[in-house]
Amino acid sequence: MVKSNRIRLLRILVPLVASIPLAWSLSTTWIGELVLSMFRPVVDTTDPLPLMLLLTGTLSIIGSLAVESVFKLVLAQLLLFMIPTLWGTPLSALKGYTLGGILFSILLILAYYLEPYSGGGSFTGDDDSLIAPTLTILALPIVAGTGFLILILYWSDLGSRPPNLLPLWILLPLLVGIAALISAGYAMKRAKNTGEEVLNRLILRTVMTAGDTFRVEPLAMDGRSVSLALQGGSPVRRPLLLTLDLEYAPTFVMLRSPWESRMLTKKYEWVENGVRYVVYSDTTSRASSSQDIPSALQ
Amino acid sequence: MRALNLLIYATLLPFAAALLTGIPGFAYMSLIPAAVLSYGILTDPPSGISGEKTVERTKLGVGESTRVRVSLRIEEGAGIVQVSDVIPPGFEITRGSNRRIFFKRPEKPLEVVYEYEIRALKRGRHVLSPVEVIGVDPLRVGMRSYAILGNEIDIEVAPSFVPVKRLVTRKLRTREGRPSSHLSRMGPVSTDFREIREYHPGDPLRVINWKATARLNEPLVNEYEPEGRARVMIYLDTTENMGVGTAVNGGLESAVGLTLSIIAFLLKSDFRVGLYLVGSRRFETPRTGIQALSTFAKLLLHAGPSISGESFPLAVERSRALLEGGSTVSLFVTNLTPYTVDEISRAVERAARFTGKGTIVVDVNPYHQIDGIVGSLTALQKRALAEKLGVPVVHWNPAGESLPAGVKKVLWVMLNGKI
Repeated sequence: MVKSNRIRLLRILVPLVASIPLAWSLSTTWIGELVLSMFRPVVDTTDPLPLMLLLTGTLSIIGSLAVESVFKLVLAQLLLFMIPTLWGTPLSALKGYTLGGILFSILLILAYYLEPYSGGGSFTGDDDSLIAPTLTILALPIVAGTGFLILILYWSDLGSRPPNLLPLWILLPLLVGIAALISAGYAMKRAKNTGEEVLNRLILRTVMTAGDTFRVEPLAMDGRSVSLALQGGSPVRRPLLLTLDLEYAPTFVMLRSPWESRMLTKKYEWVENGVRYVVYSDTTSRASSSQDIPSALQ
Repeated sequence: MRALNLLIYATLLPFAAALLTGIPGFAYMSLIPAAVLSYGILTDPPSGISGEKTVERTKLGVGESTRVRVSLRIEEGAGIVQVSDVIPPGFEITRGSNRRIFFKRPEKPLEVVYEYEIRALKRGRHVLSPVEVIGVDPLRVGMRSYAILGNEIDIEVAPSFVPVKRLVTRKLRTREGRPSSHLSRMGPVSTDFREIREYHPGDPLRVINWKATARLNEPLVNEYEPEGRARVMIYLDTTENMGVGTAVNGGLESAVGLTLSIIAFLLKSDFRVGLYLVGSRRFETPRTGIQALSTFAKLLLHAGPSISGESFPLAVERSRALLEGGSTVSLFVTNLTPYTVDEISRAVERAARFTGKGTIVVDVNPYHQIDGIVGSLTALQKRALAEKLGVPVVHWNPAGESLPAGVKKVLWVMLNGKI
């Protein structure tokens, strides 16, 4: 089986699996009774669950073929699964809803990562070559989380023993551990980004009306700003990605073409091999407090 | 929905669901999203990025293609790698893509090499941007890395023109002898000896023929042929008036091709040719020899619709020194409109005063490229306007007539003795 077929199969399988807890949930309501009464002349059974499984399974397959977004389909299934609980739940159904909810929490995440990745533009690449390794990486936290869940589920008897539902003696050390790991991760990244910079490389990104064959000519440079003229060419609205080496990183860069001027502000910076890279992009606000928001890559 | 938002909601909302429904087990739904979120935050996006971009040829002609090759190596981290660069508007991608996406696995470095082909649509010095690499963490929770590889690469696209061989038809060849009768009576002298004559006050000492002077005992000087043939001064309109149509296929592009083709022919035919870019305030003094073609091509490389308000009469005034002192023909290449006709008329009068020779106006009609009906209507209007000028006007429709046809029309008027 080729990779693309595997992903396609997963896109059908995930809603199909989600239809199992959904079928169980609906079979405990009047819908289950209704379906049973409709099929009683054909099928001789008193349990609506098999009929509901058949019905929701078929609908989920049709849905996954008809609806483009698996995530939206699974989200709709989750909402349908939870709706009956709003009118009260018998104690006997607690275990079922707990297990169903956990299953949905996994399926929802899987469905999200099965969606094609857009990346904020049209990129050429094998979509499935992105999804398959993402799912492999996703397996690790899911397995780790499931392992921890098994412990809690065992302790709380599948969520039916209220006094043991939230074992703080497990949860608290776990939360502290996670917090420590996250802060350590940030600290390491911060340490990586520091260094002795000797040159500033300014990266200018924008979309503006400028000449199609412009020349860059410096107009004015002071400690705070740099003004560059884009001279020549025929006017055309175009993306610009320019680099400029300077001894300092100004607060903003002004790009002036004969047809439009743009003020670019500092958005993102890092240091690598003694070079400080500073990304400048369009400003949405002139407030000084908004100049360091690292949103250039959004 | 962004992954970070989804995972935060999926971590927090189950607690609300547990409270709302009275099913405490729903709170357990938050554990796996929380685990995924923590793992996503801790995973480094792709980093340690190195690579280069190379271009097969950096000097092209319009319509020619070149291959761009990008090689990339990513050492650390894991996740999605988006690679892209900015193709200048004067190029189109004919094969492959410049926007690629890859996945960097955690266990081994990612090495990628890809190529794409671009075709030059327009003359000029185009800048191919550096390669931009954006690394996104594998679970897309918002950890990103950014790298820029290489520098800008300049690609020079020479303007297209009609080779002289294609222009020299039998009809034109019979007229080709005519330029020899356009010899200058004034202007700089060449090294071609004509005769020995008597000395006139003001003759430079270096032209005195000392041997002949000693022999005949009276001052005699060598006289040389005036240099070259008739001069042609071309005024190309590079104001916004020519910015009709697209940047790639507009009035100015057609006019540049026409002008360069005419220059090539005239240089080949031993004319002295000068060029003034009206609006851009740039010019090239009259030159001879086909070798000078590259100088003109270089000047035309950057010619774009300029927003400076230089008018034709002002351009003629500024180039007065180039027009005077020789047998000069002026050629105005423009887009004749009701707004410019008076200006052209004044420029024609002024040029005639300086040169004493004729003037030709070449009217490039770019409106056919926008719409056929608009083009036809403007053509009628342009003919009416041309009559006001009182000089030969060559109308050229780049959408309906080929470049060689346009050049031949102009040369025919020039060499047919209408000027």
